[in-house]
Amino acid sequence: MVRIRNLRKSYGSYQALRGLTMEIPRGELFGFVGPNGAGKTTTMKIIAGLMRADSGEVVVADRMLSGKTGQIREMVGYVPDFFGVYDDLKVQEYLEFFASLYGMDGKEARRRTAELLEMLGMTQLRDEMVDGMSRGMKQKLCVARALVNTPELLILDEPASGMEPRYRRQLKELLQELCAEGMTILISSHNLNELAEMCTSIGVISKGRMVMQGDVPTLLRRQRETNPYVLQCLSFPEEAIQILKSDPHVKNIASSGTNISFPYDGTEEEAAELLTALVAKGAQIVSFYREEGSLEKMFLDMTTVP
Amino acid sequence: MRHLNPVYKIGLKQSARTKKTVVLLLVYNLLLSGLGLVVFYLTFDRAGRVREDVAYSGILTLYSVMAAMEFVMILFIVPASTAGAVAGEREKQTLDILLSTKITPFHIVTGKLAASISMVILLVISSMPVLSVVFCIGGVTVSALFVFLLLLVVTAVYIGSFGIFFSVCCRKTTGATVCAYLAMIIVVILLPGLLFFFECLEAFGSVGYIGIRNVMNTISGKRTLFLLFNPVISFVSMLRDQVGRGISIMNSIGSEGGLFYFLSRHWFAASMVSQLVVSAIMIALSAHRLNPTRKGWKSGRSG
Repeated sequence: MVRIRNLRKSYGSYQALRGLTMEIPRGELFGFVGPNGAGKTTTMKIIAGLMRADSGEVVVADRMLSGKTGQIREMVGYVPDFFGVYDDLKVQEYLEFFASLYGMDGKEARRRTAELLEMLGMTQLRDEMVDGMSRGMKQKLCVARALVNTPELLILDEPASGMEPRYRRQLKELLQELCAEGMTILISSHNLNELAEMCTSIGVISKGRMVMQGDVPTLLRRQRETNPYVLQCLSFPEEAIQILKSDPHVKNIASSGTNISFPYDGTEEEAAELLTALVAKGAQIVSFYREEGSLEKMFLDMTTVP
Repeated sequence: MRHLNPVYKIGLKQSARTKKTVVLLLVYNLLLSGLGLVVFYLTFDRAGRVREDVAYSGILTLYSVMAAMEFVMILFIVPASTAGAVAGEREKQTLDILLSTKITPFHIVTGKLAASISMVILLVISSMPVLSVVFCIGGVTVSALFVFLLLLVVTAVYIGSFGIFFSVCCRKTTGATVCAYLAMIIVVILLPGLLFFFECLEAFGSVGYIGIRNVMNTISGKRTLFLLFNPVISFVSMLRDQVGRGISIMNSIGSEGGLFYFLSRHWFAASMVSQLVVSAIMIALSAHRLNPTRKGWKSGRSG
């Protein structure tokens, strides 16, 4: 759905994008992760047709993004990292206005507005002034607005910041539902656990370059493989320590109280054999596991400034 | 209503909801009514008592004064109402969202301009009952009133197109408003002022003294073509056509013959066309500058 090759963008002397390359297949819920200033918003704005790249290639739905972005805009819904609402309009008027911007007539705009309000559970707010709405509700309204043209690609720049947990859950469920219906979604957020839960694939951007991209389970599994094993034990005799030290797959043993942790590059079968040997030497082991992979740890590993 | 510009429609709705509109309508009509009453009193009631006769031609003065007041109000209201149109969207952070939709920058610019101008037209229409006082006596025809309306609309579009242009160029409404007023002052006062200054110098050089009549009568035709873009001169030429009170500048231009003679005879129409052409250029420039994917577009730094 989105294919980006060697994208570059500078603001004066500051290089926001330094040859970004990424691909989002159709129907993916793609999480866009990166530290502040990494180039996420710039990338999203370029895809949404709100900014011109200095160089590089952007293809959205098999259409090359060039000077004329009208056709692309028609199939893209964009939620920026700010509200951008008209406080002096009613909820229904706000949505009908945006529907009319996509060429819908009054009747069609009203029908689409009613559909969206129903979808987001906001029907009872249709006659409320936008000004009087809570932050979370305004954010939901922004999402509804971006869906008004039934886009093929939905771009959300930190849509859940400031939302209460209930709304976040609703948003998550809605996005998953839309994704299941075939919509491609590009979402950026700093809540990495939430992204890991909802997204089908993730891209990590740092200093204007994509440093890692793939589907969430694979990335987590890959990251998990580099995580250390943890041993929780009641007693750990000297012989057991010797076995641990002599295993060629064990690196850098660290102990803290009754916990021993060590990176391990062997297979799971080899790890099971190691456990059996330790128990045989009299080690009283309560638990033996590899630390779980987390998007947060992966994010920190990939984006840490050396 | 299907094909009506949605930006225009929503702009009308938003401005109709503000208290500012009601206050503006009230103050505008109060001022105009007050002035109308004073001129009416001075022309008829007081003049009748002091001189024991009434100069019925004074109604033309009433018309001229009220028309001038409406015209000046337009000059002062339009820059303020248009300068915030796009800059305000930027401040409310709604501009990016508008630009991310199917609507084109041209439609945003024209919708915003039309919404701002509509407010002004509403003011003008609301003042029609006051202005129609001139019909009590006669001397001014309904068609003259429509020509005056046309002048107000064209002037509003002309001055408004500068306001919209600066609204697109400036990040803040305040900056855009200052620029729009400066542009209005340059077009309305500074350019004709400079022209007059140079004419004075020329008149002084040729006859050795400076007198208004002298300068006006010897004014050079080619240079005065710039005055086609001055709405005040357009207003004065309209008054000359309607009530016979004008300026000798037209005669001076006409004496150059050819195109200048034609222009001197049809100055009002020519100035309306000239100002509409400039407005179209300003609108096109505004739409071009608003296009986020044009080369050289300056956007705030994003993460």
